[in-house]
Amino acid sequence: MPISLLFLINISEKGAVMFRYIMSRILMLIPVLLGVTFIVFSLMYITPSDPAQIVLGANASPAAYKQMREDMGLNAPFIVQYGRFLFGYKHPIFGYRGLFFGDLGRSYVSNRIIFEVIFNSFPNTLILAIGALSLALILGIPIGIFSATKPYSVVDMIFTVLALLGASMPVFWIAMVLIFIFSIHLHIFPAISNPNNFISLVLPIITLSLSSLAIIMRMTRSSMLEVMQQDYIRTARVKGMDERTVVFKHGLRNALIPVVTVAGLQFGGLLGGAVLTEKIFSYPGLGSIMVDAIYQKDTPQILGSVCFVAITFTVINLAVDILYGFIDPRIKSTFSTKKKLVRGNQ
Amino acid sequence: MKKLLSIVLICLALGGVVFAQAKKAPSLRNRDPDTLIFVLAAEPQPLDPNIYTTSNEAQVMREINETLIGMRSDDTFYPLLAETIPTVENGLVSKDGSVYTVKLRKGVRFHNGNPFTADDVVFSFNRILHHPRSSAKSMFSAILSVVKVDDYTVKITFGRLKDPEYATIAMNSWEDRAKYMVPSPYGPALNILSHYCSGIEDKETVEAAGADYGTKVVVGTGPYKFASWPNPQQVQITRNEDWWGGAKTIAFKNVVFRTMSEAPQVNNVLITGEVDMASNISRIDMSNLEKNGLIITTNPGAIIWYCAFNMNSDLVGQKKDGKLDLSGQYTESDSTHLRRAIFYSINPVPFIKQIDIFNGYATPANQMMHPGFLGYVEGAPVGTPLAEFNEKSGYYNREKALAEFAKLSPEFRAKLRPESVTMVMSNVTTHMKIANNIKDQVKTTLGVDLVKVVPMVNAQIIQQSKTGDGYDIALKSWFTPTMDPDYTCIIYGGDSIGTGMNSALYNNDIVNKNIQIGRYSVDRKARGDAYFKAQIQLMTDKPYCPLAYENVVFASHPRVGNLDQAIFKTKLVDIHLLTKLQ
Repeated sequence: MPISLLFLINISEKGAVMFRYIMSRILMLIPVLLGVTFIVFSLMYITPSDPAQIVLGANASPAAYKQMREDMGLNAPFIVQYGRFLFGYKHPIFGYRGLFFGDLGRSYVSNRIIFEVIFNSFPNTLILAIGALSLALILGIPIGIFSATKPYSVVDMIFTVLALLGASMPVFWIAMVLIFIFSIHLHIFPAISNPNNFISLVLPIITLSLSSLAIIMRMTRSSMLEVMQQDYIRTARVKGMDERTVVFKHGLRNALIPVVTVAGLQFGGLLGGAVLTEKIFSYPGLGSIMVDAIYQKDTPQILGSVCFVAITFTVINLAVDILYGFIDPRIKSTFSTKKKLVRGNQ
Repeated sequence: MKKLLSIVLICLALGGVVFAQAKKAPSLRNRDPDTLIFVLAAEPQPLDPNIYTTSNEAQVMREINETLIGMRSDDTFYPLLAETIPTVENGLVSKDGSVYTVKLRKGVRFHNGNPFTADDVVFSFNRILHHPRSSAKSMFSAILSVVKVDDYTVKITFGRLKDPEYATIAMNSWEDRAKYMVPSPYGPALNILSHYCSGIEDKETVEAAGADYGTKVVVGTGPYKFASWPNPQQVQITRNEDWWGGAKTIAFKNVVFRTMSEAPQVNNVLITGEVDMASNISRIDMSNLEKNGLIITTNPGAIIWYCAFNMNSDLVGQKKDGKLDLSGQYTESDSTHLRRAIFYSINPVPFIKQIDIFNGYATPANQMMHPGFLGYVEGAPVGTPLAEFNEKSGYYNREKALAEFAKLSPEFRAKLRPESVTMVMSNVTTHMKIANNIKDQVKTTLGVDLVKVVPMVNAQIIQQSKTGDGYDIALKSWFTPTMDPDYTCIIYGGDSIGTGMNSALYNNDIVNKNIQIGRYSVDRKARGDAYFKAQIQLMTDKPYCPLAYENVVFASHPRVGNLDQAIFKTKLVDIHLLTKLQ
């Protein structure tokens, strides 16, 4: 068999392995998402609030509330309402096509299209999340490497304490302290954030990044410490390689595998967890939308936002899993077929 | 080590120098001086005044959509989109007070150039009363019909239900209203015609925009026009250079409304100069605002705080033969005495002064009516229950409280366990702090820890207030947006029982009769006398314990002027009346 064909078959074999790996992860998404939507919908269903009252206010007549509940389909059994939530509800004013079709109708409070609100605000949250994660990686990995190369030194101790502080300080407290120092007293950064104003993003990004920075730093440190104990590192040193090559080429590459996983999880968490930061800095992101929806008992907005965050988080985890498969050959090999092609054999 | 210590000391010294040099006065931070930035406590709902009623969008809408009648900050009326105020004297109100002929101002145009005519007035009132989503229906329920006479004249007829039983029927059209209502004079007529929900909308634009009206398309006749709403945190309006009232009188070219619900952060951005004006400030930090050069303006408000004793309660209510006594002929019983004992145990002054509650920005309330409203009982007339009130301690009277408590029968007293009287309130910090104050006061005065504080979401309190189940006392606040006593009477009118508004489930024929007189009379003196009598009866029966009249408080940048004229008791501001001082 010609070598080129063998090469193609080899590529095809690798592609099939990855395809099976990716498909298995995607299929796992479906029960996860169904579970999330069911739980969220159930929680909203049992929460004591009357959507008719949210729409009509507190002073409407009993007849008006009754009519509104009927129009909104709130008198239907739970399972019917859940089904409508997934597949749609037909009504001239309150109708929608359902979560399955990406349409949950309009907000009870703002009367805006739910997913339009989400898609307009999500990029703003993405900006914060990318900024925070980037800062965490840019600072966390080098500090982690440094700490690992000089373990239990004074500098390592200082970084350890700072990491603990960063991980344990509440986000809102960090935000208020930064505002107090840099906005009120030093007048360097504004206290209100705007996605169109880069300077105004500095404080919320720092606020959001501290916790992730601490985790990434500690993970890099512990992972590096473990990797630097391995035999192949000793071999590399014995072979006469300089320390920089040993640390960065042989050590870091292997140490980064768990760091990638953590970074992925952190990113998903940042997307859904920037709530407090966005509220304090009055930043128009998805977190603010969710908090306001919860305060106002805006059920469709809450459901849409939470489901969106759940889907995003799950997709990000899927991406991390896939990336993991590319980085770590041991993961891929569990999905390879039993029949193996040997180069040069017919 | 020495090097490290030196670095730390230098940093501390530098920090001290920098902090010492930090500016004290708010600056505009390079923003446009022609733009006013106004803080809203929550995201506004769609800018559709006929449908949505919360104060957040009201603050924006009142600059865009004008009403037929205007109200000044001193509660006097003036013609706005109407040419003149209809009165009986000028013949524009029928002799029986039920029909108002409104002559419309000519030459007024909407922001898109469409002419303002009677069709738009009829359309707007039809939306308020008959649109399925309208939350202003009950406020305008006294309107029987709005009819176009000609392009610049409308006739508004007020009415009342033919039978109180019809209150449960949904009226979805003018025909329904004609079927179930009869013409009647209506005391608060001018108040509701000046309420922001009756802002006039352009029929053609609203019909064309459909569900997007209020978010993407907003049109009015007002001094400002809608500019943009890029995200829920920010709405922008811009000066209407063709405003019929004269654009030159409007100081600020642009207004940006920013949503900010965290009160401490509102204080911060006022101090940094990033915003110009806000009312949802953190009251703990008021002195810091003043130190930083901000102006604090405080006026009497239209919010009353009170405790409602549940008349359906075995412990503090009025029951007859085990059932809620709706006869209004209350007899003295053990629960009456316990109610009075708790009533006389409450002193609102300490929590009015408490820094993290009202911080002094409220006054003790002596009746269930706002000062300045028709029927408000001035002073402490001798021989009336109001004579028991004093500014330093409200109705608190330890001797009377103990005397009432001593009248309890042994069997009733045996039922009183610690925390046997349930007090519900909204799960908002201010409400819970007041409730805990009251709990402590009752315990200190009566010697028994009687009150159990149970926070709830407001929707649940309203639900329970419909039937009077699950609580003995409800701590509440009530806001009167129409600035008329009729709206305040919703709290204690017998016809409000079952709606959730009358948390005491109080029903008294004398009070009900006087509320009806006040509602269906256009004679100010007759109305005032009627509400006066209602207050006397209320304070005799004591189903409520009035606590405080909350002030309106605004913090503003020193460059903003004419605040006294522009700020209303309803916490709304006529932004077009503000001036630029710097």
